Amino acid sequence: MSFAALERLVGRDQVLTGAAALLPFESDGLTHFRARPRAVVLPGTTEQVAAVVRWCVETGTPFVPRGAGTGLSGGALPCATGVVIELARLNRILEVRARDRVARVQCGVVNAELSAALRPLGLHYAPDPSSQTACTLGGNVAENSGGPHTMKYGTTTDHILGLKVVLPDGEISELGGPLAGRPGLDLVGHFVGSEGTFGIATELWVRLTPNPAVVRTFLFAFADLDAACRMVSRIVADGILPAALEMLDRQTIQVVEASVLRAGYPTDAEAVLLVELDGSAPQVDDDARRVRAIGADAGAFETREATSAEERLKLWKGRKGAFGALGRLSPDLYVQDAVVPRSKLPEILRQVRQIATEERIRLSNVFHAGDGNLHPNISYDGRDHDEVARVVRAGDRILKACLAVGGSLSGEHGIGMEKRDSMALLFAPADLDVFARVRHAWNPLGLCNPDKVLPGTKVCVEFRPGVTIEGVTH
Amino acid sequence: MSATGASPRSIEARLAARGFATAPFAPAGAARAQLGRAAPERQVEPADVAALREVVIEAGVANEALIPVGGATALAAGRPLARRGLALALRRLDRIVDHSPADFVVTVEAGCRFATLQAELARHGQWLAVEPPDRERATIGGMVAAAATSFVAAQHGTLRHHLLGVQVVGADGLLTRAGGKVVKNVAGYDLMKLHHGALGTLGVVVAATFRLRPLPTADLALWTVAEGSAAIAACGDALAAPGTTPAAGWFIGHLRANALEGELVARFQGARAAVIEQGATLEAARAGGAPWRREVLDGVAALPRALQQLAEIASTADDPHGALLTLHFLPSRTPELLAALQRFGTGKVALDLVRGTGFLRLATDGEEGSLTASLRHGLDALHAELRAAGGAIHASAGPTALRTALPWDALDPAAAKVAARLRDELDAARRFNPGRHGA
Repeated sequence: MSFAALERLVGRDQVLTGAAALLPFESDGLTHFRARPRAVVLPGTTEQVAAVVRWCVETGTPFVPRGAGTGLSGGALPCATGVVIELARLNRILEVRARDRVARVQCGVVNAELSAALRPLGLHYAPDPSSQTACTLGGNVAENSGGPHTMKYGTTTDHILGLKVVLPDGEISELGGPLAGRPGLDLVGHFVGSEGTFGIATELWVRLTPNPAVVRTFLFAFADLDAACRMVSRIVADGILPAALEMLDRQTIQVVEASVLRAGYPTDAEAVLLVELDGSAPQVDDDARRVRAIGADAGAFETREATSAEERLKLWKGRKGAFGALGRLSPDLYVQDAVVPRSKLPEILRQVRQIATEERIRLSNVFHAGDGNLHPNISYDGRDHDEVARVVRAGDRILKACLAVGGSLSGEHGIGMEKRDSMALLFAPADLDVFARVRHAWNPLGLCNPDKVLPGTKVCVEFRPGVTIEGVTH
Repeated sequence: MSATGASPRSIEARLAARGFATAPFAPAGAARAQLGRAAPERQVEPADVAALREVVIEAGVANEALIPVGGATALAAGRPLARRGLALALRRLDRIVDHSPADFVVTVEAGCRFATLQAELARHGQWLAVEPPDRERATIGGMVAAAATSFVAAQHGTLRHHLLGVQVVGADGLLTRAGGKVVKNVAGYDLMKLHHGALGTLGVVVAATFRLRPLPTADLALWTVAEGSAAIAACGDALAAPGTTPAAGWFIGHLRANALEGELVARFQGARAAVIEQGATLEAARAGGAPWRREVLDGVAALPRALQQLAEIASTADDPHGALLTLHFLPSRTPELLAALQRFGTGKVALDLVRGTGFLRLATDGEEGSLTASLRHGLDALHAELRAAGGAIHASAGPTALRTALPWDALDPAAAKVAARLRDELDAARRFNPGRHGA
């Protein structure tokens, strides 16, 4: 296939071909799915994105949009017969309206860079996934990304007011905008979280959040994971709404403390709970008093409050860098993502540990306890086919256990390629048929990020040899 | 003819054969008229979801349109019906299906009244954190379908932000669901947002699951006389200042002969000491003006007069002599909005100074066929001025002529094609609420 036409559209140096150039694009953060695309195209404007999409439509070429490639469910996994549309060049903050608390940004803006730019205005962009120093806002829209502070502030969908979208036929549409509460179909809300299968969002109107007057961050250490879970339940039941409520288990604590991200977590703890409170000083003081009392009552053997911004940053650096630190344990890391009703946390954590024991895998937990959003992380060696099979089986068993207590397949990482065949565990055939029909309405030719989200038999990826994925033919 | 007087092949006859009685569709007041000339004449009232599915299937066989109706408070939303059908009353689907206080999640059937749900949740110190107009009559399903507004959206968002899952009966009569009962969930496409505000045109939402919040320890209202446009805009700026976290900030009053008269109302919800401090900060920001009055609210009965007026102005329920325009504006352009409103003329007005939404209630003398030239001219001018200031306007209730004089939604041609395809996929025969969202 000649890509001369694409080169004319975006410039010769913005079309990558050849094995070496394509290697970094073969997977996203879920590395056990890989496929080499025919080419990677890097458009620099919305119009160029639209022109590339129209070329794909004319030539019948599947295309996969990609931001920073930090996704963890294979949502940006290339199609081996298609092209990847890499959006990193669309990285400008176009407009900030501080009084209106909105900004218009391009999709390739890095999440943390937007908040950094807003700092002088006393504002920030609230969704803060752990990958926020690398992930792009367009990717966040595709995945409806969350983060530690979603308990109070919501996920990406709560902060997106409008989108400029290149539809899968190459037409450009402006959905929503900076005004609140417009009537009509909420195509913006419907688009967010569609994992790149409804089109490509190239510009975003995002809602900005005022920085809180006061932030206080606490660490509670427990000798018992159940007791830490009880504290979570008590905080929620007492009507306290922390900005974040995050838990790390013993394995994670040990790894973080042995790394450059050392945060001062007590290494003898079975669990550490990070509780962040924000708001006005009287509100935070009131909440802090109650949270301390709950911690003592729940049996925390150590309670510590960050006394400076540096100390708070350090506590968070350990939490947000935990995934990176876990990379020290073994060549590969599988970050599972599932969600359960908060009241089921103790029960599900016991089951997760049991599964890890039975499957002989190295598992650590670091997760958004306030949302019931689990992240069991499995460290493994991808070269060991037997271990990989056990890892995949354990992940599957954990998911099924979560579903059995009323949970869901994913809290924030998305379905992508990883869990598309598990969708049938959660949804009935009629539910999946409705999903397929709405996707068809947006993406009638099926060329836009094919094969993701919904179960199917057509797979245009190559798996690592020897990997057995239940339900997927390879 | 059948015993009901309907022809044997009519939907009424088909339903009668299956044991479903129909009755005249006669919602309170002028609600029926808001559906336009094709408003249904009869209704069926299924007792449960299974019965509702049967009705939908029979309607499909008879090629009959169905008009889902909850509390009949938002029948003016969207466009008038394009063809006559049978009203599908949902009020018997009124169960609170599952409330898990420990998880702060509730699943409730569509016909459950909002006030009933809140009363039950309050017993557990919880609430669905929205305050809609028509709170006594509005049903959960209707609020979802019509994207009900909320008076405390500045802090808590609207119903959209709390909707975790939906159960929907589609045009094929199948019951499907999306979302779930967990507070964070990205499995599957977001059909909650799709049905929220769809006016029941893509399926009948029969149950919905919501995230709940703890009832605030204290709810402080402050109000004062609004002394002119500059004071109104300055109040909005004060409420948006860093460190100020209002649950609500409204101007509520009258347009009268090139003048705005009314009150500024702010609410703060949270710990008692916190709301007192927030109130004091607002008072300090407006030192020198008319003094603020303040009261800690302890229920609807204690609402200050201005807040009661807000609920009356924003009501989309039947008003045979009035119309309701909904305004959308950038808060930074509040002065231009206020100037445009004063040029417009008379009416009652309520503006959410924090979020940039508002309501303008007009007296129309119940005219149905046409608008007076002066009202038409005034509407066009207001619409143009709002657009020039980056805002928008639509009619939420009122005579058909007035509602159709203003655009309903703002889809560009490409988005309109997507919307049409969504409708083709989910309701190709335009069974549900035909025409309410345009073609």
